[in-house]
Amino acid sequence: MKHALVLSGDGINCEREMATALELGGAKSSVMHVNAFLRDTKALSKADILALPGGFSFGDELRSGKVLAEKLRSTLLPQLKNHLKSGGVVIGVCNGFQVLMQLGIFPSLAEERTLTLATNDHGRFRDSWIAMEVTANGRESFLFRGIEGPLYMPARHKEGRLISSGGSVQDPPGVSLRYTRDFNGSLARAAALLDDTGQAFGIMPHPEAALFPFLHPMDIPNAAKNVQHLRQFFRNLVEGSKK
Amino acid sequence: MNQHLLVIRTKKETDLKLFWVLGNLNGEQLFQVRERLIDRVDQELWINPNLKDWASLGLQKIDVVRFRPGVTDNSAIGVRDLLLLSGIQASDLKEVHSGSAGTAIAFNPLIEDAKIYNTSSQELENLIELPFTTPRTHSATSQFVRIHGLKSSDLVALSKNNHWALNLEEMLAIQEHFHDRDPTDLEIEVIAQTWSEHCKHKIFNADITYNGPDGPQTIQSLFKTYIAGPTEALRKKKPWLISVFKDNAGIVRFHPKLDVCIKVETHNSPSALDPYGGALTGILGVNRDILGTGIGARPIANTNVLCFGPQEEIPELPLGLHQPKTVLRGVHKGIQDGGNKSGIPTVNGAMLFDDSFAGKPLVFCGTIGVLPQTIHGSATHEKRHQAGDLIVVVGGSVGLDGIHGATASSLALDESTPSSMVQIGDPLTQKRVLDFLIEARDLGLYSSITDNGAGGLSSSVGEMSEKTGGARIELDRVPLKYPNLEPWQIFVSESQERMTLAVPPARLKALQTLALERGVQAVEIGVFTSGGYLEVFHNAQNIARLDLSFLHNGNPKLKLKGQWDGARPKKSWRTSAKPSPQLENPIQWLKTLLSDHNIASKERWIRQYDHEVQAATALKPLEGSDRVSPNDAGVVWLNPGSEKDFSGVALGSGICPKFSQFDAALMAKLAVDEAVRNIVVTGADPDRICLVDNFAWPNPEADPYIMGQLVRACQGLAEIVLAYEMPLVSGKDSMKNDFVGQNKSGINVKISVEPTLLVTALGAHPDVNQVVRGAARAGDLVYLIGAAHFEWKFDPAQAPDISKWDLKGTLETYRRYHKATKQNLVRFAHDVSDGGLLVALAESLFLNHCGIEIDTKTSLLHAHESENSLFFSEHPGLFVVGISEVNRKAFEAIWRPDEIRFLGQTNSAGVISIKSDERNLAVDIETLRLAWGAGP
Repeated sequence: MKHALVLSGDGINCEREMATALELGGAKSSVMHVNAFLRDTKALSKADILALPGGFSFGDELRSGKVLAEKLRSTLLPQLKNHLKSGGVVIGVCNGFQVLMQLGIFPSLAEERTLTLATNDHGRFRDSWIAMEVTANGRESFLFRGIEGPLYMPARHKEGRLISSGGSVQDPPGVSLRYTRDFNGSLARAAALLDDTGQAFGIMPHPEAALFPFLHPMDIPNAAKNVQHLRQFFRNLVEGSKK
Repeated sequence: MNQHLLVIRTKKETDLKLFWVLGNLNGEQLFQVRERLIDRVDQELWINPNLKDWASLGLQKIDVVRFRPGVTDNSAIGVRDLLLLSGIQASDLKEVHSGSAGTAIAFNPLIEDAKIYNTSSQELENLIELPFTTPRTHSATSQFVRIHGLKSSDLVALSKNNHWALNLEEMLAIQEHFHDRDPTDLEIEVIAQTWSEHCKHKIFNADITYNGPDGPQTIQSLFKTYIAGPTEALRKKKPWLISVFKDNAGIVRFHPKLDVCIKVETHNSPSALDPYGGALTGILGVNRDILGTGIGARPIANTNVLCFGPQEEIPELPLGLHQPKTVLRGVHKGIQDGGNKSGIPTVNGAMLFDDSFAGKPLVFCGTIGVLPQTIHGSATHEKRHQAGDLIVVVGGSVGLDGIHGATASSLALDESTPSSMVQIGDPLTQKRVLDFLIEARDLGLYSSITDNGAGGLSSSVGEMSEKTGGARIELDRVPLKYPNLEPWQIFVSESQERMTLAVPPARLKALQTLALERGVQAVEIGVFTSGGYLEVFHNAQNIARLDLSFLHNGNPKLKLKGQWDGARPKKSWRTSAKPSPQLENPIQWLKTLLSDHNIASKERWIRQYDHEVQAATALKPLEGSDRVSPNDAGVVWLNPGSEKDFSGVALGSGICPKFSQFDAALMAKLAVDEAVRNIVVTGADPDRICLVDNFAWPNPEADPYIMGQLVRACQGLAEIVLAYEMPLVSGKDSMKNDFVGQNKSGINVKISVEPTLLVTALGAHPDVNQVVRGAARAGDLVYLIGAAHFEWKFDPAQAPDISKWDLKGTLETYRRYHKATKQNLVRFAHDVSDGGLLVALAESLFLNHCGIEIDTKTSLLHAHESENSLFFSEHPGLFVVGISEVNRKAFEAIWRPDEIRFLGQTNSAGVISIKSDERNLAVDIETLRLAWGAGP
């Protein structure tokens, strides 16, 4: 059985539902406090999947995900390179995505970072369900195998607008899901990215919060189908780890 | 020691973030770590900027705003963390303070200093050296307070000058108790906190001589008679009551393995002074109440009900008050940060607007939590500490913030209200404490827990020591934010994010080890004893020895007079209020109602709360993701992630202060009915509902009529609670919601809130898969359900006569409706409340852009019922229900003939049309949606 390591603590909020989602995907989840993770240098080597859940790590002061990224950087980065090299998978949702972004995972650990997640163009935190489509790039990934049509889930963030220091590049690398219509001013309507290895995935909306039909608002066209898709996504994520 | 100024500039953002760093550091060291402080993609960092840097902003003038000394500064904590993570030694980093710079930055002078700089001025370079200080403190030992031999007027003056809020009788009782020595300052402060209206609810426990419609009567304690009394009377019928009125929250059992607890608090005075900090600490405070219930419950949902002054600029607003528009923004941000940053979904709420809330806003914050019924085989709803257990304080350190919160909130606001009662919360610290405590609870590392709210340690240790019969505290051990606090200040400070634990000595080491690992402070400060005294030591000196029985039971009972002789139409304090619109025809009036701020959409505010963190919110405040219909309540799944267990709870609220001017008993009953109906429509079981009462009143001690209104409200509440068989399990009262001040012309103005009762209803929801939502689909058959027991005249200036309201009959309607939901017959439902039937219908039609045709020529109108009465009545017990055509027979068979009226079938045409004998009227649903959407 695949083993998923879910980080918690320091203001992370969504570790419980993330652990559940990965279990529904077929993994054995264990939730581990960031401090314990930093002390246990073997923890990641024993895991197939590393999950950074959503939340407000360090209160989101200065820049969402920034402080937690700095806390993790020196210990996690070398381990993370090994983890990806040996076929492991990483997922960061919302604040977890922001942490991965600040760590320099996207588009590639090998390059200088040119992307970041900035404050939404409307300037506010907004909780709203949103439709996304899988991009051509996403369709090549194991994550979206067997998933047709749009995906629906709640977006709940203030800093989720993808920008690039290179200005308005038409096609930022690694975009795997895009909003079907503009939500926050994100470049190329990007909602989720894959890194250059294809094994690290960051997403602003919350797939782990849409795994049961009754959590869906009435205007989502087919909640049961959406649940199937998202459960398939988590199964793909778990099975995609080749460690 | 050097001081540096770091400025972070983010592309496309107008405001700069400023950080002053004081320590054994040079500019080069900061330059080395610059990459760790910013995101180079869109930020730049200035280290000790010169005039050229400032000039690059292209601004003539720049405002610089900083917190005043001692205010919690969460951004500074963030930068401090970053500097330490970058390799700077803690010993080299003395202090970090934050600020912001830009144009026209809003600030609150109670907690912030602001100064405008000319960008070419040399003064701006000196900004680097702008000194920051810690709050003024002076090292002092505890002093005796001379009360011996003081005459009455001196005792009263002594209490007033020290903000103790103790009246003459109480001061005399203290004088008599300390007949052989003077009390120390700490002792009298502890007594003042413990006996404060805020903590002791003296008015609700007073002896009242009351003269009302039924003649004179004497009431011994409103609380015992009308609140706890009915709950006791219902106890046999409601075996699911686990703990009521004794812990930090009420506990009920709606699930085989989990208990649910609920608490609702007010944070009105703090929110009047600093709307953001007041509301933030309100939410974080009520979260701690849940965490301090039983041996510690986990918060799963927040609710908030907010009452503000009108949102237009009020030119005649008295000096010293924030414009209600500013108050809304601050309070909203506080609720947002409090919930979102703690990972607790905001699932329900309301906003009300009235002139009477311009003095003090009402900020009700509520939380529900879950508690496993047993942990390691022991029941969790009871605290089990004993003498010999150690007293451990967990969380933040103590500063001067929040001194005298409990006593000051027991007084009216005026210019002398101390600003030290203003505090800003730190959601991150609290989240760490919460996570740590749930872990420690499950490991059995402590025996009891309570929160540090009003009154600080004085109240938490004071309350817990009642059970063991004493406590002994070493104040020197309490961690401080800065040195030299006076001992009494340490003991009563309400500095946030702190919980008090009782820890068996053998567990202390394990508890502290876990705390250290989780980055949480846990300090042992004393021990619970059994000798009958609360003893406090400072520098080995005994500075308090308080007899617990005097502390908890020695306060003289308040004696109050109340009388109620009928309605008194309310008079606004305002001079510039708009005239009320007039009714022309139902459609025009419907538009007017929908755009009224009390009814209009609050979507732009609600969307900024996270409704669904924890992935368990089955019913959210709004139905829909783009176009929306409002839902009536929040429904939360109790066992998220389970594939088998779909039981939930529904949470709703009722509040209608507009009826208090007629009769507070009417107001109370309507509030209960609205709260109950809000959750019943979603599918909650009417036989498993409990209630929470929150009274927010003007000062009843000042006016027997206001006291009389309070008695009426309590009597109305008790009557409906007994009839509905829905016990009250927790409650709180806030009794001095008056503002006294002057306007610009020097004329005295008093603004008192309308007597307000918020009722929160919590009910068992059998299946979250079958939650009834608030939006119609095309093709639904729509009914008005509920019997009209009396005629509700369409006249906002007249009290409805509810004497014929059959409360039991309404309960029976709810039970029948529940049967219909259990049979899965209901497609949507929405309660008929503010604005009446047409408002409810329109709201349900918004999401799917539906229309409906209503023909009043049919038998829709009852005899003598006018069309306006049908359309705009706010009669209790009514709701709109939609079903599928196939279920028509089964659904109609459930009801008595007088409680079901067919309204029409929804269509996809998007038009509401009304046909009557006199005329045909029609309006696009889109027109109505836009009117509704232009909310505050």
